[in-house]
Amino acid sequence: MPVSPLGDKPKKAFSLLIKSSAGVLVILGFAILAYVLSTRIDSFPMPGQLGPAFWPRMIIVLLIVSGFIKVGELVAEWRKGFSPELTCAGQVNGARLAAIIVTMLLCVLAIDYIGFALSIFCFIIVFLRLAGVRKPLSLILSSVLGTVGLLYLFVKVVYLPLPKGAWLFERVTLFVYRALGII
Amino acid sequence: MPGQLELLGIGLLNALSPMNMAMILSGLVIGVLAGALPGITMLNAVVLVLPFTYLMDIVPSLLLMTSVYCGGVFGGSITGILFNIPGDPMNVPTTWEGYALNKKGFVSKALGMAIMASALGGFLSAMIMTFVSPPFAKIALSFSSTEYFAVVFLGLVSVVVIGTKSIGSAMICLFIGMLLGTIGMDDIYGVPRFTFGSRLMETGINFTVVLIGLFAIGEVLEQLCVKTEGQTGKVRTRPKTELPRPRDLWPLRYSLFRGLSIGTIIGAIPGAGATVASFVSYGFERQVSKEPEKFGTGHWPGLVASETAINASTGGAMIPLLTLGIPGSGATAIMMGAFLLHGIQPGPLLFTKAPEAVYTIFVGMLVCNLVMILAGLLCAKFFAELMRVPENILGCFIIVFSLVGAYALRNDMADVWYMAVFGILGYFMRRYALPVPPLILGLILGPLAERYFITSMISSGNDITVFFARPVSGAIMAVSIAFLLMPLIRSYRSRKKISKAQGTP
Repeated sequence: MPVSPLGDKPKKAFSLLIKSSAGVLVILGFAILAYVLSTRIDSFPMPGQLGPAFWPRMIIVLLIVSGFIKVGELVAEWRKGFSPELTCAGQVNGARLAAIIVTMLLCVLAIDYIGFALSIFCFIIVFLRLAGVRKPLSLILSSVLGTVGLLYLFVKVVYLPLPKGAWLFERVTLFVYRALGII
Repeated sequence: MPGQLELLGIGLLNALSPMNMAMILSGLVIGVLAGALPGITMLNAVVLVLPFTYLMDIVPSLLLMTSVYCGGVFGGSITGILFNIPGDPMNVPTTWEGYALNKKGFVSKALGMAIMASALGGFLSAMIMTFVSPPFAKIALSFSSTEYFAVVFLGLVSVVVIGTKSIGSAMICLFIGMLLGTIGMDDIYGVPRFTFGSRLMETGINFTVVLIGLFAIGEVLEQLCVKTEGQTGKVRTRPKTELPRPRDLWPLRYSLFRGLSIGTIIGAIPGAGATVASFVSYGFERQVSKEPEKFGTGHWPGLVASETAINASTGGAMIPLLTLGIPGSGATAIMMGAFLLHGIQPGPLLFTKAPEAVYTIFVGMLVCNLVMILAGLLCAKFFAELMRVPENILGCFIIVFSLVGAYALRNDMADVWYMAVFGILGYFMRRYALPVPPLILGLILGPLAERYFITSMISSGNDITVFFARPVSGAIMAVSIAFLLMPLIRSYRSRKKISKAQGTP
């Protein structure tokens, strides 16, 4: 016997539909905001030409259309009796994920101030600790060898001017470079 | 003047000289390694070897650069298959299939198939280059922005055929990618768009940075922070590369032929390049496949089609350079620089002034693609060793290399920030089942599509029919539209079949 598309639907499936549609609605909101921002693009009058704002606006309109197509797909899926799948399989270690992301962002932020060499040295230690390496010797060894190897490869061989940091840290980086014979 | 076969003989003798063979082998190893490391592109490697050619003759110089070029376009596939990290944007389609094959337990065969498909694609396109260069180049030269737009449009359309469960999600990601591609200074009108006065935004978003973030960082976060059933205690083994036997290749001959044709043709169009070739070839292969639903899940024809097209584009790109003196890609532009450094002007006169040199380069490319099997095996072995490194240490160094790689592109910390942000985004896109490939495709092809579209509109007085009025662009647009309609026709047919089977009208 066919099941009514709406009547016998479990509440959980409906809430899933709302949740997944919410994501699309956020994208639609973002698209509308982007369209408003596109009106601020300096489109100086050019007779007979489309101007610099035409292409982004066209893409935003197509993005909005795609959003509606997605909502249509979700509703169609839900009406068929399937609950729209929200996430992939697997159990997330949320604390480790957050810690790794924060560590990575702090490292990127620190590169400008304390230089590449020191930031990467600290990053490797913290990252490996978060990723489950317990032995202090392994941590220190991986960090020292990794940093020295990277400095040799990118500064000495490829001549990449990696950031040296500011103030005192610039001197520390230069000292490290000299000690390693890189400069 | 000696005939073509005689010149080929002279070229073969020259190419096999110890000096030239050394250049070919070292160039291939440098190219494969550079292509495999995220952030160091094939183009970087070609630029890096340029100073070494100053003291050499033109033939070893060109052989060194062409082998770096051939090895470089292939190298990114190794890390793509092993770690889901494509070295270059062109290796993205190979990564989709190759990494899925790796997860299925076919890593050795996938590596071997990628090496063989690349070598065959490069070798056969070099053969084509040798025999049909002049007429081919004339056709490619007649292409205008209209035809370029049609080719890029075909690449974009392939998003609807790339293995994704939801067309709506794929389209959303594609247009977000294209929108991100509009950030920064506009190429045609020189106007800043969505920059909010920030220097970080004015430079625009480099697609290689996004690629490194979405694939490398996203993958590391997924591997270290998500535990799936049966993953605990997983032992990482070192894969051995297993070259395919003729009977493995025979069922894939049509995919190989299609990849070769698409790669050579697109490679010969100045400006199109290996990235467009690999995406178009992959999309086309899925469209003509009888099992399109298998694409993205580890399907051999997808891997072979994209991999063949990438290396086939190298032979194609050499055609306009050698016959007309027009570089078809960034790498061939640097090679043109090498020609000029040695006081030689590439073009039609090259065939009459220095035919032996030209045919040595032709044969050198043929040899180079054969030797690439050896170089590929060597480098794959080196990268496979990394599979024995514990997951957490490998993940840490992947992130560190990604940070340096992003910075190395333009020596700009803005790129490192973009990479980190897109890395986090990549993780969440995976978790929420949003397809990453369309976003990448939109970001890579979007700016090209805009440039060719706006240029065509300016030259035609905003007449949209211009894309259908010219024969070549009209034909490509018709194929694109057929591509767009095919999934709809397929779903209509399958629905009809189901309703017939259920006995309902």
